[in-house]
Amino acid sequence: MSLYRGSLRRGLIRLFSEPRLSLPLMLTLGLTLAAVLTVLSIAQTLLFQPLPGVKQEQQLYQLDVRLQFNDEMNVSFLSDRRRFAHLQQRFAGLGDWAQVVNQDSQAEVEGQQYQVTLLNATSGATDVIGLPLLLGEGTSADNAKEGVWISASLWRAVFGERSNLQGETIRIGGRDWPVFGVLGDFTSMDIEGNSSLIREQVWRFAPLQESLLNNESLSLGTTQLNLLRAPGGQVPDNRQLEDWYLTYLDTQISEPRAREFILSKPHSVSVQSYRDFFVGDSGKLVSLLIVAMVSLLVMACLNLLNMFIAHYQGRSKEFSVQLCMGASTRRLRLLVFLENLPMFMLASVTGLLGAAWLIRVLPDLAGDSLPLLDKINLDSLSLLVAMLLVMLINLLFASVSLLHVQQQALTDNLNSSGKGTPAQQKQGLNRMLMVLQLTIACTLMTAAMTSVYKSYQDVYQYPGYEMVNAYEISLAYKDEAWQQSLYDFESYSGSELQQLRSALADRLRKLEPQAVVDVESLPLSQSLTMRAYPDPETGESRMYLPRQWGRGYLESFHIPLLAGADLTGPQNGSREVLVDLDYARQLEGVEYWQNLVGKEIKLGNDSDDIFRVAGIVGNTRPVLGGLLNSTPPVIYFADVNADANGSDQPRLQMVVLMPEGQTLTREQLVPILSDLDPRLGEIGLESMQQRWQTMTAESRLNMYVVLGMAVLTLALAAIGVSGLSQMNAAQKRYELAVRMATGARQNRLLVLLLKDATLMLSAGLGLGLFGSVLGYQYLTGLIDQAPAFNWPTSLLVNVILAVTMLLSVVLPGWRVIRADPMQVLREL
Amino acid sequence: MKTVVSMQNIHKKYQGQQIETHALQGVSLEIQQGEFVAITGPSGCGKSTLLTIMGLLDGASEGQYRLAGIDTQHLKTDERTRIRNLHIGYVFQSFNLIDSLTVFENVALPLEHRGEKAAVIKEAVVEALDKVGMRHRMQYRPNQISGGQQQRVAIARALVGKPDLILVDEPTGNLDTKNGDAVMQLLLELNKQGSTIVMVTHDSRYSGLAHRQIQLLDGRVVAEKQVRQADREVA
Repeated sequence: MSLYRGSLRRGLIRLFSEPRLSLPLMLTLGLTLAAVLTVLSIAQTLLFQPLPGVKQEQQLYQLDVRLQFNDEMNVSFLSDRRRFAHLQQRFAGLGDWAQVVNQDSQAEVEGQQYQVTLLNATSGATDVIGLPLLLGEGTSADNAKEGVWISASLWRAVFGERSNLQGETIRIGGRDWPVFGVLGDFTSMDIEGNSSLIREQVWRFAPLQESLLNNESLSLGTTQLNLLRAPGGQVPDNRQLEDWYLTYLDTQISEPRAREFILSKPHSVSVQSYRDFFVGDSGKLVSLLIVAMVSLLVMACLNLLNMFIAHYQGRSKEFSVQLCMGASTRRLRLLVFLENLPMFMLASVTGLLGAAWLIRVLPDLAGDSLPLLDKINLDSLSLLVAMLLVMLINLLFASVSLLHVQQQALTDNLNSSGKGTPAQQKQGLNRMLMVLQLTIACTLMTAAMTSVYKSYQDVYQYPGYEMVNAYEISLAYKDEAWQQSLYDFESYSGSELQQLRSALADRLRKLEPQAVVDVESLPLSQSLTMRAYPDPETGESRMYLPRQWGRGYLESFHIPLLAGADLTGPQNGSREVLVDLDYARQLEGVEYWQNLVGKEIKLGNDSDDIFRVAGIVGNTRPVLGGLLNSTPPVIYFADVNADANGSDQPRLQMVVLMPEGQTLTREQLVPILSDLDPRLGEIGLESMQQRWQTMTAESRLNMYVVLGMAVLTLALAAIGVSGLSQMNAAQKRYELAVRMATGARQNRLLVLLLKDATLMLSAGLGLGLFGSVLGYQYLTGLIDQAPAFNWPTSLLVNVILAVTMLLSVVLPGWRVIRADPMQVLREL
Repeated sequence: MKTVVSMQNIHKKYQGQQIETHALQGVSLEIQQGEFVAITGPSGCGKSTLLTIMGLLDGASEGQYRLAGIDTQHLKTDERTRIRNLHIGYVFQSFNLIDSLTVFENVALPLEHRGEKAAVIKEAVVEALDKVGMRHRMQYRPNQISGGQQQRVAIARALVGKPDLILVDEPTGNLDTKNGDAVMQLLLELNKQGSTIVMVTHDSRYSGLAHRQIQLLDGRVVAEKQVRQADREVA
């Protein structure tokens, strides 16, 4: 027993006495373990833990019929509630049905504004989901339309968890709604588009069957929950859903052109379990993260293993003595295991602490790209996995580190002079591990650098306009009905909206700005509307991005006018538009795009949809940070309402350019805008710089995190190669010293060391290149958003790796070669 | 008298990349309990190879070897290790003490690997260290004591498990004359107390102290002679 105790004690001492071994192990293994544990925790939460707020999720299914407009855009055919009700009627016997649509909104209680997610649902939707009712009455067809239900978080924030909500109201969309009850927070909902799901939620219900009384709206929308709870497990299959879709088009859409338009779009039907729907691409992302992190862990382990092998090769004699004294190899492994245990335990503690920190900052790191972030934590299973993983790695290390201590070579080891020859016999294993490590490094780095390059382009590529000292100023509409009327009549000359905007501009001029631009939004936009119209000649659907164009807009943001009139700004209601270069090229070809100036374009089937092209401007990117993979052509309209539907425009907005270096604050705005109109509320202010920061934050963070991973991979590979090279050179010290003593020149010796390493590097990098090409093909097949493989990046990665690895070989080798041969011979 | 070592027609071949080396070519010998045998011969004659086969550190390519009545030919690695632990003590020319362990811990190794209880180990180690006169250096580390003292400790380690056979490989090779003589004196003492010792040496002063000398040349036993008691005492 004292042998074991002794090993443990030596292990503890070694933590401090051999920092060259303990520090790399603690940091390398600890940090990679932190990454692995974080990803495993994410995977466990997303893939295995029950979804919060969802009861018996195995019975819950999501159904959808989607129309594909282009690579970027597909929309849900079931977004119209009437269609969903029709579908429910067709398969009513299979279970309970519910639809939920979310929308960002503002609620007001006792003059206080709250940002909320408004969930418009069919009656009984929360029962279908299984969301618990915490207080008040349940939803039913009778009470549904009379009041609202709020989430527990909003209940806490607004009513301080008061148990009696009798008579309490909440103002939404210009109307006061009685609060009927409190529901649990609904966090298990997949959100697409520009909305975000927050815990402060307001539920509004309407009976599903009522929507059958409406006319077919011919509208299409983004994803919502189309749920079926099927206790018997029987759900419509894809063929049945397809049949329903075609029948619906035939029987319910009477307008032939609309039917043809919809039929011309490729469609897909899907019936999937709620978890599959909820996890969606995140599942693939998590799987990829697991692969990446495990690869990193394997790489780190290979690295450390090489170091351990080197360390234990230096102790060959000690283990041979133990074997000679009657220790079995099993016992030796156990002794090594115990000796390394303190180091590994410390590494696992580092890993756990690192994982806890990473999970804490995960919401900042991942943004909206992963759901249920607040549910991810390090539980007992994670602790168990960490411990097991570390023990397994320790066991593996103990076994592999002693492979060189063979019974057969006992005599050699016991009688060796320690000048390196026996130890060199097992270098094949080191080399194999190193080639494997380089292969992983090359694959990981190629994937990482491709992603970094894409993020860099998303963030820093010139967007076609200057980032000037501009601000977007906004005022919230308090009265929904008034807001609607403003936009309904906005195109009439001298409309109330025009007067309001004019008054707003006048007030803003008091700030002595460089310019007040009468447009709703900055060229850099957080939310966009894309539109499609059928091409008059081919009938093909063409996408475009409607943007608003106002007086001084182009000059203010330095958007170049490439052809057409020297615009001073159109009048509202004008039928003139500006188009960007992409659009002009689409219509007139690459060479003759200027010919579009002065021509009319037809953006729909009505006479109102005909516009004259006044000019052509440079291409711009209104969305940065990779939120939109490719920007469709932009058409600039004079309408205030150009890039949004009136009823969807919740705020009155205008853009102000301040002189360079001058900051605009909310405090400056309040005195001049607070009495503009009593039906306008909260004042908002956002600078162009702030918007760029917010919009690109996720991409920049991703870029730095992935770049960090690439650097870590490179560092791991460099440490590994340098360690092996150092070991190689150290083992060859005697040989090198003898060669030097007998007249070999230093550069010849360096070539000798390099010759050995070059073969290993070539094999590792070659295999890595091959692996990265194959791996990347698989990745792009798996994730649509993955940037395309590019050879320059891959070759650059190989060059960086090759140079770093060669330096890692040359530098330690050079140190040995530069030593005085006679001194080396004396020392050995 | 009990036969401790019985070797019949032992061959040992080493296969290199291009050449095959015959280190031992049909060695046969027997060693009785309580004997002190010296194996001599020039460098490369196979002395150390014979000792490693005898100590079960390596196996013979051909031939039969029985140690304390046990046929060692078809033993598995773990069984060889166990027999080595129970029946053999080894003393090396270069001492082969583990620097990270104390003198006590080094000596205790064979008993630790045998799984003896702490009290038994302590008693045996103290007794062994007493025999070699190193008890007072029990808590020292090998690098804190002299070469002669290190070889004494190595001898204590070899005898602590009360083995049937103590194999000694050039025990004085790394020592000066004074220390070499002291070590030899110690080995003789142990032999007098009943230990069977096989010693490889090329020093005729010390080989003369053994009961029997076996001379090897090119992997074969070329001469074997008994040393008279009188000569031993003179030596």
